[in-house]
Amino acid sequence: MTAALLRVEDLRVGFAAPGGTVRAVDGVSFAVDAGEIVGLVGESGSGKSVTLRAITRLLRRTATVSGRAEWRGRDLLALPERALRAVRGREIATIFQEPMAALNPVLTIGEQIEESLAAHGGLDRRARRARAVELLGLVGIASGAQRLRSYPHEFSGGMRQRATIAIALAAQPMLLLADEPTTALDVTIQDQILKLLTRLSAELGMAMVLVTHDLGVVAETCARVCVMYAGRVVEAGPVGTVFARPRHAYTAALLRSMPQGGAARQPLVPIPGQPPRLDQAIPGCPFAPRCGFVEARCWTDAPPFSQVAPAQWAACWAAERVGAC
Amino acid sequence: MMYRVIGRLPAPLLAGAAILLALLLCAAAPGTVAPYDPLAFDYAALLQPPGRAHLFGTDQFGRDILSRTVAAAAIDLQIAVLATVGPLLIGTVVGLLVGYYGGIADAVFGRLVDLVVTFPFLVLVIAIVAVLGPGLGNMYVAITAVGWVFYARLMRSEVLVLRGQDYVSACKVLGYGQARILLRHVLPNAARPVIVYWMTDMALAILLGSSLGYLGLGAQPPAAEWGVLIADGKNLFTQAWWIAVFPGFAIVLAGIGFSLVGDGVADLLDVKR
Repeated sequence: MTAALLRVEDLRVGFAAPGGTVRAVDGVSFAVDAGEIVGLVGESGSGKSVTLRAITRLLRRTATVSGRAEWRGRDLLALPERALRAVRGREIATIFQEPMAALNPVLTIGEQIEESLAAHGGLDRRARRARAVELLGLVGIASGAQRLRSYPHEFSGGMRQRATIAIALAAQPMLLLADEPTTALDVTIQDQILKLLTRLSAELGMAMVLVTHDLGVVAETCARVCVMYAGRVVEAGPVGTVFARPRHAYTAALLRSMPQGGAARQPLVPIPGQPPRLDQAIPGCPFAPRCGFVEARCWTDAPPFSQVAPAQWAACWAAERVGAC
Repeated sequence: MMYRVIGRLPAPLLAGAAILLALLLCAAAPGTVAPYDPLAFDYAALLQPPGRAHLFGTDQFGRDILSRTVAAAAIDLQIAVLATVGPLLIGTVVGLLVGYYGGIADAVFGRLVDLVVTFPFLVLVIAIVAVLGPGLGNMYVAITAVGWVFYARLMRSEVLVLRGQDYVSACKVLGYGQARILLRHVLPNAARPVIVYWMTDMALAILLGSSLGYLGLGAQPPAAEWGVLIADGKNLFTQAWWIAVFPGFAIVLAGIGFSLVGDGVADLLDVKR
């Protein structure tokens, strides 16, 4: 086993709120190997985006963050601001959900790509221009030389997301953190962007953490998946195994609530209830109130995150029974 | 080429610029526009109504109102610029820093704003001028001391919105330095309302300068300043309305000029136009 590129250990993020501290992320651990694509799935409020933002220290100062985010042997959470800045962009790049909001409206696409190059590269002006055209080509925007002069509002949603990807790629990062990169786009464009990201990851040997609420997106792009619920990782493993034989009741319920490609006309089974409030401590398993496999100990004891199959971990007391169905 | 550039500019900007250019010409070379010496007495032509010899009439000393109004343009344009540049620069910098970094500085700034807006603007300025002594220089100091707060408040509220924007986060995750983020990404996006406010503030500064001149706290007689000219004419208003009315028109004209330019600049700065 190679040493992981990024190893997140026991990450906790709390936000002070009137009713007490909201535990948005509650002991999340996962690792990303070089060149690997890892999916972080969960419903809204499960803490997936906060996890991502905590790793690059993008959260407001009001958030209390603890745990470790080890990047090539250095803890990002303890790094001085200067050293952190050297890692950001150059080694770890991030793309966001809303491509319009992620681009500065008063600068042209070219200026923004070239700025990213200038901040990290040290290329001269002409080389930067050439590289910017090259980057636009890489993300599938043709006639880049003219497109460089366009402003973000002159681009379509899909092209904007391609442009943000080009900016992120400028410094040739080793890891790309993608926070729901396709959620704001329509379905056909979603597919194009996902294909683009997987292709870039393979071609450039760039690892990727893909945050999404869409299991279909994970199935299409990721090698491994971490399923999050109520600020914790409840199940992790290779995408094929987790989807074929989930060992956590939540993952199983999530998969049943989605249309399956093969089996036609099967009724979908929604998950009843709502995710728990995170401003009070949850004694047992956070999914217990909505769970079809619930046992007595689920209410009182938090299930340990343990290995349930080769390379597959789950935090579920009923892992055996879930896996058997 | 030149013609095509002008053709693409917004119409209000062109109209406003034309007015301001005319005023600038009056200010730079009053002799080319004004027929008489603005300070020369003419006892043969006291309180003449507007006519062929004196287009805007004369005052109680026989001074030509047109010449005095034109001569006053220099001081009033100077007021428009000097009374607003200080507040603009100080306010922009303070608003940018306070809005972006927040914290204790922001809390202190908030109380300072409360303190300043509690008093009417004019009262505060008059109080400061009264302490420092009348005159244009002290008037600039007083207006700057109070006026920057409004620019800073405007800037701060813009920056507060912007600092939560994804592209500012994107700059951070790209590893950009703080100076780069502030000057290149936050400032240009926050500047538009401030610049527009600046333009209207120039018009307001002329009115303010005129008010203070009228009260005898700004420009001192016999210097011609529109507010001073109106003050001169107020006692004679029933017999000689032209003494006060024509400088008043000049103030209105300058105000319209600055406002139109402000509108036009707002249009120009809107990239999505």
